[in-house]
Amino acid sequence: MISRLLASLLALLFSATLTAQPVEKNNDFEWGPRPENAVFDPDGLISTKLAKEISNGLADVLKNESIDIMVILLKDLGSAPPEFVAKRFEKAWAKSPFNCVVIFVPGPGNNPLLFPSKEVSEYHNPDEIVAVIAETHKRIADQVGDQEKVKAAAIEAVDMLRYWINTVIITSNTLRHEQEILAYFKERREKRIRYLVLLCIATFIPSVSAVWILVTYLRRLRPALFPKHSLQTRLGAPYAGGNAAVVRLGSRKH
Amino acid sequence: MNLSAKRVRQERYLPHSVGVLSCPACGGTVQASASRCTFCGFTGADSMKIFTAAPPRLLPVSDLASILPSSGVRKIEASLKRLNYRFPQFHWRVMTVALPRDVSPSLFGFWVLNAAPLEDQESAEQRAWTILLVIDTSSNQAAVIPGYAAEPYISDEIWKITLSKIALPWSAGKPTAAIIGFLKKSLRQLELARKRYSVMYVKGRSK
Repeated sequence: MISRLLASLLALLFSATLTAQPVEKNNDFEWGPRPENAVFDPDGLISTKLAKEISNGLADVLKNESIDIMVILLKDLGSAPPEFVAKRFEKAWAKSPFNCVVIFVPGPGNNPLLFPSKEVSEYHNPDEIVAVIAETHKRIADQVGDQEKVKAAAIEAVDMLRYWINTVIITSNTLRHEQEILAYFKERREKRIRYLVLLCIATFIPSVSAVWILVTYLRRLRPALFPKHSLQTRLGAPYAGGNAAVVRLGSRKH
Repeated sequence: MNLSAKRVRQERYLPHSVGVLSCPACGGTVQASASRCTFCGFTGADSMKIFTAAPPRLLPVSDLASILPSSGVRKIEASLKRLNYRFPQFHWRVMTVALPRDVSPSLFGFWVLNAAPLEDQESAEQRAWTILLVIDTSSNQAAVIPGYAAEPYISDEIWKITLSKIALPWSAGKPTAAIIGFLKKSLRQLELARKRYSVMYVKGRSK
């Protein structure tokens, strides 16, 4: 026999498939709109006082940190898997993309189960998330009494999301910072290359001139030869023909 | 004769020319390979009759007039060494002398260059490449007498320009500085002559 919950869920699923609407927040959900309390306990499975205490705490967390924890206490899930149910609640009631649904069906051997949203787990290693959730479930299971378990589950859910979200924020900040650093170094390198090119251009002509001067000077340092030519003697003189330049120097100071 | 700097620049770019061949006695034009001057009949043998004494040795620096201090002689010899390194073919000789009034330093230089015996390790070819600077302290005249081999590269007019630059230090009583200044300017003239010759040589080779 199909329970009321399961029938509603199936109907919703069918209608969602037909209409292809992405989210049917609060409209077609069988539990209606989200209540004010973060703890949804239609069957009064925990004390009102505890439910209010947990709700107030979770409301503060939602307000200050945008972490949405929904504690769902149901008598029976029917044959629907808890994960499926958690997704339904998340889809219908989540006020923040960073949320976690705590599903608890009190009973012997049952423990609250945590189902964080996809956004929380997107930036982390899936295996790591599974391991962390498994450990969290163990810690919750160690609590004695359903009320203690519910309280522990809410606290663990908040802590878990806080850790993951802050890790993402830190990582993104780090990434952004690293990108800024990379951009800075890239810009600095480009600036240095520009300066180097300008320097090369500016020093090109002086360098070429200096090299030319040096080469000319070094060439002048080497011995230079004039070509030999046939000597034509004249006036019977063997070595010099008599050509001369004479200049009057003026009287010399003694 | 005082040539302008413009003329010197022009000559730098003129085709190579030895200039006019002149007689050391009368200054008249002499034909190449002429045995005597057509104007005065002068020959080399006549110089031996004019200067009857033995010709002085043609040393690098001969201070016959005793106007140069020993330090000055050393400085001049160092300058000659530099000149000789750069242009090893040319042999430079500097001589100071007090000549009789009616004797020109050019004629004296002609006689010394041809009549002075060759020094040890000096060949006839080297004597032909000699450039002799004669400074006559009696008449305060300076003369440059080049040998046959050195003649074609710098004309007498250029030598005159070069010599005229030493008048100032000479008048100031600095004969060493005057001679060293002349040698430096001669180096510059030879550089120009070599450049001129190189251009002409390349042009000739390309023909």
